[in-house]
Amino acid sequence: MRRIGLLLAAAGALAAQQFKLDFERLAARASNSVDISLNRGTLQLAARFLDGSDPDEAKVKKLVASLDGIYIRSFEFKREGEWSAADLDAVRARLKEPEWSRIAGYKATEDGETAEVYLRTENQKVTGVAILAAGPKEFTVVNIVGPVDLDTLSELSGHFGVPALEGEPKKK
Amino acid sequence: MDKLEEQLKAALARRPAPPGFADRVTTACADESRGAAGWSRHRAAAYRALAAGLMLVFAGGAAYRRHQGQAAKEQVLAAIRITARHLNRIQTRVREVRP
Repeated sequence: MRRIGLLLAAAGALAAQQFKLDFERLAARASNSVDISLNRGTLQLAARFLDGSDPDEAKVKKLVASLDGIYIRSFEFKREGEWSAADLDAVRARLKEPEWSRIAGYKATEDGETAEVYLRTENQKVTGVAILAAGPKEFTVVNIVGPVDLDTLSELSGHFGVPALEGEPKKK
Repeated sequence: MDKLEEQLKAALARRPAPPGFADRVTTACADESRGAAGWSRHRAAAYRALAAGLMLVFAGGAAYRRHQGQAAKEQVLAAIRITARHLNRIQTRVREVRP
């Protein structure tokens, strides 16, 4: 019975995710890995414990209140070359139009960094965001499910240990 | 009729109690009283234990929910940190190439 419950919970988590993330090979090679799976229930529980009187936490509370999920897989490697272009392409293949559209990205050949931001829209409403970021020793995929407010998210720049945008005064 | 009266008199005549009767009655009453008080004490103790157990269950449940909530909050903050860091880096890079 407990096993069935776990399977149903796992199925629910996969259904909530907007694209399946399967990185067993990368996970096996990573020296550090982060696996965050937060469904709507967990986000709502967390929101109750965020301090609304604290300006930073209040922003996060507002941000997560409308979200359906946050799913992150991030890997750090000791050596370069542990991930390949095929790993990036496998993620990109799941972020196809018409649901997904690439809104920003960069590729820096000198330091080997690449990052892309995708937006998922339905009926002209944002229903999700995907971020694909990779460096020589890092590989990260983020999927935020729900009506994401990118402005609020970027307002968190300079808070919670996130460095402020260059050329922009640190927000309080 | 006289015979009946005599029979009644004999039947209802005052007789002394058998020896030790008063002591036996007193002892029996005391035992019964002790038993009732003991049961009452046991019941009160059982209620107190039940109340304490329920309080422990509720307190444990609240502590568990608080722990779960704090863990969820830490995970959300970690997720926001990772997401904002990458968005931040992308925005910075895009600004670098745009005048």
